[in-house]
Amino acid sequence: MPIAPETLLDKKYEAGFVTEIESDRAPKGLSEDIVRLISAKKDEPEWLLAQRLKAYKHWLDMPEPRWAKVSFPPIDYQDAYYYAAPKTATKPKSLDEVDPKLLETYKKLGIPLREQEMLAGVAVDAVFDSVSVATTFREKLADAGVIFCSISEAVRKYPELVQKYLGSVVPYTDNKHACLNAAVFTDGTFVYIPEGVRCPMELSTYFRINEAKTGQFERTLIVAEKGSYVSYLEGCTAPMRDENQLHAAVVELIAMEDAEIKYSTVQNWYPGDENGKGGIYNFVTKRGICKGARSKISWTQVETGSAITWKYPSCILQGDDSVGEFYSVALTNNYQQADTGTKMIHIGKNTKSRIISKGISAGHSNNTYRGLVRISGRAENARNFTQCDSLLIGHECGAHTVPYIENKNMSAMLEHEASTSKIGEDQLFYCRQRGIGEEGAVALIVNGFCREVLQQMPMEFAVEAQKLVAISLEGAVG
Amino acid sequence: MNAFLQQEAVIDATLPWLEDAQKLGEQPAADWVKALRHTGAEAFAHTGFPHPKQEGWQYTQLRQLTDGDFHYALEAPAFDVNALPQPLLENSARIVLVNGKYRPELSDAPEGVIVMSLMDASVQVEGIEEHLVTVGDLGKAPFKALNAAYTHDGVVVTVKAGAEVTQPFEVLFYNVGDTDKAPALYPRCLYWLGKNSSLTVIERHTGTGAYFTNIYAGIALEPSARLKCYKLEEESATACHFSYTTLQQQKDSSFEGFSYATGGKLSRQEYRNLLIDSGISSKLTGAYLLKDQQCHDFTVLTDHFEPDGKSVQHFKGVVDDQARSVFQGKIHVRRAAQKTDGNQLNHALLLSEKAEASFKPELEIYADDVKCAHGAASGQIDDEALFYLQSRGIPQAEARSLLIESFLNTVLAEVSFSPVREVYEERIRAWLRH
Repeated sequence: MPIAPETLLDKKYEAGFVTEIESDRAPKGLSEDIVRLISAKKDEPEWLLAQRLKAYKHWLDMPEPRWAKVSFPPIDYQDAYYYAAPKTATKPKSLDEVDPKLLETYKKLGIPLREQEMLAGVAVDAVFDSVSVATTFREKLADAGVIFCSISEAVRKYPELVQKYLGSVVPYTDNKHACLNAAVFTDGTFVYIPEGVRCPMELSTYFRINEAKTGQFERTLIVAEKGSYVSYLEGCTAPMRDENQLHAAVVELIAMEDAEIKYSTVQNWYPGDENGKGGIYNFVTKRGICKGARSKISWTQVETGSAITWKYPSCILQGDDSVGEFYSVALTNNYQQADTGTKMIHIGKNTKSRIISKGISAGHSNNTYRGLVRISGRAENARNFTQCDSLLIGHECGAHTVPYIENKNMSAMLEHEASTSKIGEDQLFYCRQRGIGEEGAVALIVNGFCREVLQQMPMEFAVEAQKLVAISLEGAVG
Repeated sequence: MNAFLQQEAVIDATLPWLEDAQKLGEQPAADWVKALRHTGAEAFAHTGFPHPKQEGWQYTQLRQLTDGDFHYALEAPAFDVNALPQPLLENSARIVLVNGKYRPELSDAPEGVIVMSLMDASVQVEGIEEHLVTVGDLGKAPFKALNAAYTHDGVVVTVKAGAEVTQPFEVLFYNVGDTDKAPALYPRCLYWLGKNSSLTVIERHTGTGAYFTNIYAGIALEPSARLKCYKLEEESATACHFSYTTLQQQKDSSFEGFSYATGGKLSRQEYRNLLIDSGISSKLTGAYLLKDQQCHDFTVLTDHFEPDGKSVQHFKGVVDDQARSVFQGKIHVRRAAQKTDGNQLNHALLLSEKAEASFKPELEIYADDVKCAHGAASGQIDDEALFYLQSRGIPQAEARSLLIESFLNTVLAEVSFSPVREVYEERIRAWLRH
């Protein structure tokens, strides 16, 4: 006797709590003054303010992208705060000086900094709302010559690097959300790996939206010089909220000759309640460029949260023999909407790309894979392999696939395949007759369905991601 | 002048395309025909030809068409009857349309099939408007709207309930073009198969000189009706061919379509296959062979409304020189359409450095107990296979042809009526010789 899906789908959001911390907040709304205020608060140089203002002016007339298969009421940009910083008088020198309430928050999320410091060997640049409050493993990284700091710090310390690369992959004219980010980004991460350096540890930043009605506009910039390697982990959770929170992050990756960047994400923001009320709007622009020959960029994502996900981590394969990869698990439940995928732009010769996308829809949700593979005329011997599979759980949800494939070179080889299915009664029966409970069986089957992607995750994340997938779908048998 | 032409939202560039429609105003016609013309003209005047940024039109550039000067004529031009191509199959019956106009004196229908010109049918056949008037999406289908504005030419083919027509039925669209004043043709056709009837149609499109043909076809299959529809699109090298087909299938009906496309400099075949009841089988397959600067577009929507439907969209093509191919397929499975089995496949073989292929194979699925899969691939001839054949003494050109033929063979295998399949095979071999 199968368990009714309704009883199993109403799993509450586990990371839903709010930490009460006083915050230093700019007035509500968006205007030129706010942009100037953000810049002033951050002690920014003139060129950056000029860039912000240029972006803001452009943003005013820019239409919102409308092509995605998501629907939501118009966003009132004036009804949000664009700057909030936790109140800490001076920058803490060690974890002991960090607000205990903050540390408590991390503990609830299962990422106590100390433990990580000692056990996992992961450097964490934890971003609480918008200002980075704790950074670890600085010295070890500094020894290797790796720069890993908040973007505001990078602006002060390495202005020439930031000025050279910021906005070079995602210009402010790209789309309305990226443009807004260019105008009002408050903080984020800057990573610079010098030539020939293999980053001695996995770099990780935990983002957390905390302050009510604070849009998050993170900016991440990663530059990997010739022959270097870095693996970067990004994970997010957010407390339960009623209002929709807008998140418009921008991530830019630059890989020079023989460099490799691995970027992994676990996204578990508040998806809204069972009735589709509330939840985060996650409008992210992520793009990497393989500038040099033989460079490689690999995106891995596990997306289980947010009311709306609008996200297309892309690779521009400019260098000859460069490689782009995209591994994605997108899971939607209740009234969540996800429109996610990738773009692989092949420009250089012998460029290769691989896309593995797994979409799982349950409840009343809609899950869309939207991807572009473009082979330009001079991308000789380019190769692409795309596989997107969808799993439907219940009969109120939707799974969609919208691939765009453009080939302008005869020597290129492209393959695309997609399938849609449900969890087979026979699979379930097989598991159950071997004594595995209904919930365990579904978790097993769904994890098996996502296996190819989860395998790509670094160890630290693979465990968390598997748990997330299992929790979000426990026993949701259609 | 019609009232809508004074409205502000009208796009000026559309007016020359609608001018000739006024000639039709003086002709007697049923009220619904007049209304359809008006609605079509109004829709087209407000949308114009699709913009390249419009979804579904990114890959097919219309400049070759929109830069041209095409005019609609009430009368077909004089032409040499002996120039008409021979029927494809010896035992088939054939009807002929010249520049979209039905020519009964050149036509002969098989037993059990009733053929009438569109205008005759519009007053004589009861319930026909139901199948010929689908205006809901005119705002999104400018070519269909433009065709509606010129509702006059064309043919209606009906098969009575229970009639099993065994004789193959050829429908020849013969188009006579002109370099000075190139004609614009707007035929509107209907194949209407009654309950439990069956028919095999061979639809040919061919002609001479420059012209623009913009066809709207309705296909209505009543419960358990079975239609095989084999298309040959071999328009003249300077022609533009646009067709929009609405296929409406009722319970347990079956459709087997194949479209062979090699003609025209710019062409697009758009299908909306609506499987409005349960137990339907709908198979649309095709092959395209393009060279020079040809551009061909297949846009196919298969819409499953009810359970137990089975649909196939298989297309394969070869693209040579600077030609471009486009395939946009979509399988839409509605909430109620459980147990749907949908399959979509598109492969393109590029033969030249300047050739291009674009695909958009979409799935939109709202039912959980379905099996839907799609695949798309693009590449060139396998060097190893070529080498293998050459090493066995087969000259390169022949080896290439052999490999291309075998590549296309998998879609041809979907054609269950073997005399037509043989015709297709011959056509492909002939194309490869050039």
